[in-house]
Amino acid sequence: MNKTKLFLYDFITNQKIKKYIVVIVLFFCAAFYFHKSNPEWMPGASAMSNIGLSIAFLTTMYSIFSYSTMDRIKAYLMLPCKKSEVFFSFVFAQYFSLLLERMSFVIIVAAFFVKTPITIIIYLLLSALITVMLDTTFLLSINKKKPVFATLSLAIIAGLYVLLTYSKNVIFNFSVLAVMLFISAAFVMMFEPKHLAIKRESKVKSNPFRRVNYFLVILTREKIVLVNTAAIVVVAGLFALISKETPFLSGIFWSIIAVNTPVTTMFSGDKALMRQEKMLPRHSRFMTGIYGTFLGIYFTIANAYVVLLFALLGRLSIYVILTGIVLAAIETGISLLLERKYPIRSWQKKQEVWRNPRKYILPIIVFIISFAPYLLNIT
Amino acid sequence: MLTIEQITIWYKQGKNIIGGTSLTIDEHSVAGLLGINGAGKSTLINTISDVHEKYTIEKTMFRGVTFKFTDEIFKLERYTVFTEEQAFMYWKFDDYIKFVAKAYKKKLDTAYVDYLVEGFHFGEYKKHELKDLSTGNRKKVFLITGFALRLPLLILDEPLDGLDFSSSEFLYEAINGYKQYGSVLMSSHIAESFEKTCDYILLLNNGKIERRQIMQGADIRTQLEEWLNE
Repeated sequence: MNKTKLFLYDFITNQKIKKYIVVIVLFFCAAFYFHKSNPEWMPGASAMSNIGLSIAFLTTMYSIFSYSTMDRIKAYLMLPCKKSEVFFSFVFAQYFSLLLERMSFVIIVAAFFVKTPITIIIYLLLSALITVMLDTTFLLSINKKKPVFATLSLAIIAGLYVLLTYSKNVIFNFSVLAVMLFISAAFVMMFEPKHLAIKRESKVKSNPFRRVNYFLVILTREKIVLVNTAAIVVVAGLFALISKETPFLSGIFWSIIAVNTPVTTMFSGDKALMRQEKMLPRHSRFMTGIYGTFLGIYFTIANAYVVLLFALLGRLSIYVILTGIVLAAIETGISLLLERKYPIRSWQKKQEVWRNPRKYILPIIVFIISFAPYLLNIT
Repeated sequence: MLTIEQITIWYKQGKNIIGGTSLTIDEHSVAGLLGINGAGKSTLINTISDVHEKYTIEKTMFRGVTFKFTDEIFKLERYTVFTEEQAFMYWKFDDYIKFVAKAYKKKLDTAYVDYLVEGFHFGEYKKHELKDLSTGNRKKVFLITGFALRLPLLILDEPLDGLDFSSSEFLYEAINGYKQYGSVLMSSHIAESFEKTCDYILLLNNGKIERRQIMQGADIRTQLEEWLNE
């Protein structure tokens, strides 16, 4: 067996490559047409680098945390492979998947619309590789309970953002990226491959949510759900700080809160739970009620948080409060409807559930609802 | 008690796993479901449990009443313990059994539950979340729940997988004792389990189900092997 492909086939299949090639070609054509029609449209180089970095950082984090909970990874880790081979294979699989499925689109945009495309594309490729290794270090350090390395990884990623935003010196940037690449590779090699397999959370004697709602327990216990929710809270907070008071940005602000895919796919993402639910009687009312209650609690808290942010920014109004209340109800209803009537069934890895296009339905609806009063001029 | 006539099950249209066959499970009996790997035992169980949806059926009767596998009235009469179960990993035994009892509208006999817990040597694991349990102990959660419900039909898909020696012995005892409450449909690959518990065998071979009687006194392994090699 080619050891570099140890993990690869779990992420990439020939069918997937063919599908993405078609999509990339179509995207390329669309970008070409748009460029011809709008030759003056030119986003900043640092903006492109930051968008690429954000996509690489967040999606890879998603990918590795979901992948590492799978039992099959243990079967790979028990094979007689060297540490360097295992880590190389893991990083290679993540990097290849990242380039094919996400970064290729950013690279196409950079190629057409940035003044110095070659430099930016090389920045994107290097920063993506560094990010994959730092995300891997983050996973390893969380599993090994070495928070120092997790903190250092996040600090280096923050440094990457600063570098790509403010520094215009190409030679300096490449030098720093090379050093970061070396450090991130060294970080990964300080761990053992066995820590790639995530352990479910340690034993907890009592969890106050257990009696209240099973899904609340998952929210507070599953690392990926917790990390994702925390990331949404942070991103929403940051977005609130930088966004000006425009209807468009406010709409995006509300929509960010609605994009918690692990929360809105708790049934689809748990085949065993779906099987139990189908087997048990009173399924339609019983589990739906529990999940609906959970979604109601989650979206009420999430929208209350947005209202609070508006208040802290001095932009609170009766319209904002009403929007929060209406959206909490609508988000609960739509999420429940989608999960119960249109569950995502055909998947091998959980990340396929989270990447399913169904995830965009709720934020789009939320955006339209929050934007509609401005269009109708009733605010 | 349960009659299923002309059931056909598939994953891919045109490639039937089970093709136009019938089976009957008697009242207060234990039926063993026997077949080689891939014969369709779990698929059949999943279909009866309303988990697998690709099937056609001519007629199904439960205690003289026509029903569908999706009917609530039938679901309330049966419980399935699957081969491998990973649901409700953040719950403890008590959380799960109470939840299921509520779903089946059943009041559990605590003395019987205690008897099962003790018999399966599960007492010390009751306070653990399911995700922290070994394969065998996790299986016991669902087995105890299944027995404790005392429903007319208990379906066990390879219940011995993961169980230790003494728990296996207790499982045989529990299955035999269950006949006073209802019937058991059990799939297994362990010859001894058929000999110790089953009143008859449902042999699943080449997509067809045939009922066979175990001959007392004859070597069980030889009998089963002969049936499987037919």
